[in-house]
Amino acid sequence: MTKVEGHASLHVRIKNGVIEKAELDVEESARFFEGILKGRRYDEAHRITSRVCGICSIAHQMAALQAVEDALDVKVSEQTNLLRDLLTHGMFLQNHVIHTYFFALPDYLGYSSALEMMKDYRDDIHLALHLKKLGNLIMSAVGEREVHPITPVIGGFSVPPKEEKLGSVREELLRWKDKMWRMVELAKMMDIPDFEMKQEHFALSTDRDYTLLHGCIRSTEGESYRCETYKEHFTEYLEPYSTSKFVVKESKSFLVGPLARFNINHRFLSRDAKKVMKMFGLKPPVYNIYKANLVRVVEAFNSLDRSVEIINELLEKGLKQEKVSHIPKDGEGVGVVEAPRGLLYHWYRIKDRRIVKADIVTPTAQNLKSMEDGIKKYLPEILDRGEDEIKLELEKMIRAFDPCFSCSAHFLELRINRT
Amino acid sequence: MKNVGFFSLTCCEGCQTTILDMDDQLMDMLGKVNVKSFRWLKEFNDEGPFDIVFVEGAVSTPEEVELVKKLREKSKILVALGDCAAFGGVPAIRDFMDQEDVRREVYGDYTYLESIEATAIGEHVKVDYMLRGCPIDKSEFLSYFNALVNDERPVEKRYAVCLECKRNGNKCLLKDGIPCIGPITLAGCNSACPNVGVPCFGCRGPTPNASLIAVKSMFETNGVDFEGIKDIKERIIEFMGRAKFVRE
Repeated sequence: MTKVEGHASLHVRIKNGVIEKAELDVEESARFFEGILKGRRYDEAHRITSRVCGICSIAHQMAALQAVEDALDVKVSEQTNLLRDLLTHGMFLQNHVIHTYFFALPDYLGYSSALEMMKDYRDDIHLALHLKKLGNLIMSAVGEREVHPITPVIGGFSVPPKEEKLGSVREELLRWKDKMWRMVELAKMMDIPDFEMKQEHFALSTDRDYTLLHGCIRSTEGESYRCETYKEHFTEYLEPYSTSKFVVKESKSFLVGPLARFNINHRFLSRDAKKVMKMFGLKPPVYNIYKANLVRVVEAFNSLDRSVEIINELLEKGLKQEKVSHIPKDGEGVGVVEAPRGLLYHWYRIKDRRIVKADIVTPTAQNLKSMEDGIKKYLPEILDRGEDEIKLELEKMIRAFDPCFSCSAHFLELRINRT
Repeated sequence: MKNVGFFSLTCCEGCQTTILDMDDQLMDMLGKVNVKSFRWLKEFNDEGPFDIVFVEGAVSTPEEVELVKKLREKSKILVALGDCAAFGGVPAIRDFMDQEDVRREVYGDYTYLESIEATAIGEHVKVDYMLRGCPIDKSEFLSYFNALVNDERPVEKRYAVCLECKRNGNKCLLKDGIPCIGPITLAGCNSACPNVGVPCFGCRGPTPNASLIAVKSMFETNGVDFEGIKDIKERIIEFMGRAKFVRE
């Protein structure tokens, strides 16, 4: 199989009309993160792993910090927890706006890209840039930078955000909130295929909120695992055709991400997010992956609302410069968070101030097998269509999973062998 | 209008993301040029010819070597975008380790994948300008972009982060015994990290006269808790390992 710029190719083999094989080949050039962490100092973990992904760097920072803090028995303050939540909601808002307008909508409205969509939807693309900016404002107010924030450190934040800054971010959030309803209208224009694939979904869960950073791992089948037991339930393995690892639970594919979070935690969504959910006619549990596009809009509303609430709470209490010190020690620690694409697992063993073993499991790796299963299930239904249409439909499906390589506008090299 | 392309090699794509995060200026900027390739916004197109290409990421596969050669041939100006493109960056940490160990740590007995060195673009083709940082600095990008689009020469800084840090009125972190390598790191970030009490990690690469011995003596004078020259070398590997001109 040849490499394609754009990082993924799909090889399908069909024999007598039956799908024999659907292999998704992710050609990300390997960067060996777990390998390069070995021997590095423990306080570099969040900085180095932030560089796994420039789009969700905050998720990696949060997972790494929580894992190292777990290993060092560092407890963080309520202010730190609120600020980390706020930072993470900023990322969710920005990521979901980007996915909706730049990746999903062009596919469904018949454009090759957001830039091309501009000619008919100029105001909407401008609105998208403004909504994306809201997430950026949150991230730069709290983290001093949107990509690879600077202030998050072991134990908390090197400095807290300025109160005036948070106040003006809140003003902007509230100012643009009314205009955001247009995002719902536009998303309703997406013609969502009628496709169900019932499988187990996993997400972080608590009994009090739409959590992104805390709690245990729960499933749509009622399973509940402590984060530190992740590896007892989920198995990573390699396929000769892909540089990315695959993850299964008892040799079966499972799903993480927006649908999983929504199905497990929907009752904790904000009031307006619930309103959006009703406008889309979403009734949990939802097992149609294409509807993840709608859930991202629901979550964007939730993240905006929750950000306003957190800022209210922070400003009411007043922000304090906290002392963030810790004593290095040997130990092991785990950090599990929700990245916009789903569960993200970091684990480290620290000895003599060095990382001696690291383990990272990304949401995309966890969803890869589901993507293959989804393709196998959906392809027979559309096999009578032309090759170009099949390709677009499969791209739409894969993009609905929002894998890390989805940013390539036309990424899929499709090979269909029919015999 | 100038034909401009943005390309991405082995990296986190945080530099392209940073450009897209320049929300207010983005449309203005893109309106001044003919964007021929920008993966997030439109199709990948490496056919050229280009007046300016911005390339982020380290070169770490044979295909990427071919791509940078092709882009060099097809463009008048080639700009290395960010730390990975300029110095190999975080992907190049593995260049200072046993490659087989690194591979084995991630992929075990699975031998299909090979770990090869992650290199800077300048090790393969001539680079006209380097926009440093992990990620790049927005205002620095904007000033380079505007200069290049107007056929002007961007102003390259030659001094250390310390100068910006002092100008910003920050208390020197070294004085508190915090290991900051701002003294040997090239300015242009407006001392972003020390401004918020975080030491400089050198993501912008070295100053022209960077010396490790000088850092060692600065660390010693200020009572920094560190493990000698080996420790400083290790710190430098995090972001500027492949920068050739660091003197001992």
